[in-house]
Amino acid sequence: MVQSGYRYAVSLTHNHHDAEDLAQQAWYKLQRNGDESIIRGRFFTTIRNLFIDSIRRKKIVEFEVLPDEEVLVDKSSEEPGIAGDLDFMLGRLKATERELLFLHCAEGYTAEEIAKLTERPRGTILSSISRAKAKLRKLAAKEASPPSESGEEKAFS
Amino acid sequence: MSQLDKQIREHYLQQSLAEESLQSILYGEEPLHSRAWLQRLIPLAAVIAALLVALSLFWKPTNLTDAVAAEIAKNHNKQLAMEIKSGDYRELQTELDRIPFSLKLPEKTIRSKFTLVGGRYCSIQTELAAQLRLSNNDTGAPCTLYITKLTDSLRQLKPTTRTVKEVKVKLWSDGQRFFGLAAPSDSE
Repeated sequence: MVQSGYRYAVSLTHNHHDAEDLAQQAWYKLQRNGDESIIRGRFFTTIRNLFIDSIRRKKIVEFEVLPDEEVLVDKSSEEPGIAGDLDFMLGRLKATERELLFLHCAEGYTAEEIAKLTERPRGTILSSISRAKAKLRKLAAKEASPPSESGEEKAFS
Repeated sequence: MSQLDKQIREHYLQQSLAEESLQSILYGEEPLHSRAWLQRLIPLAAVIAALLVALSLFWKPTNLTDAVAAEIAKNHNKQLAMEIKSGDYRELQTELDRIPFSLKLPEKTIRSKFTLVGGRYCSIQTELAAQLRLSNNDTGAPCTLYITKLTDSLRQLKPTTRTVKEVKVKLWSDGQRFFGLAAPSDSE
């Protein structure tokens, strides 16, 4: 349970130290509130709320609410994987995008369950997951393509 | 599940807390930094500290002026008996031998407007001072002149006149001496 919470915190913060702090704070908060048997959903919600509180305090990132858009469901199970440093590429995504990918791919949450946890419409969840994956693929493609000749190189050629 | 989904799943499943950290969360003491209420107090403490610094920087001279004027007015109103009665400052200087500065009346205007009656020891802001009883030549009103050494704190005071409890107190400095002249506010 703690490990799952920690992984969820990693998806939000993309930082191991911050994630450990977040999981620890959430765990103690639930214990302080007298929750003897801490359930996963509640643990995740507490982590999420603490994360939102912390970024609001630091004003580093806007934890934006995505607009409800047309559903773009990623139905293909035949899609190829991506090459390159996945951790680096995940770091380029927004916290909300990493969160959705973690919940969906690693925890196996359905769009309905994610919608309930994040208090956003199901359609938004599905389109956001699809968009986040597309963004990852684009980043991977960019990383895989050979670097173009820079202006400096041209000047010396 | 697509290949990308599997990659993401594997990536996150590889992330795990070290056993030591896990045990610390499960069975350890609540860390100080998890107490959000304490973190919220830090900005408040910083604001209070800044205010205190500002107060000490900008209000001190004003408070000292008020304090000195109030102390002089209070002493004046006591009208304590003179230890030495003499109209000659040199005689007072000889008798009040612990006073390390001149007791000669300052400024021609003071010397022409008042007559020296006597003197005694006193203190201003814990500094040893001389309290000289004067008499107004025109009205006969009893006035008191306080003289003390110009200390670093008294040096900050600008020449001013305050009225405290019906006593008009004039403060100024000259050379290495600080003066405070107290007179009834209706004496002029």
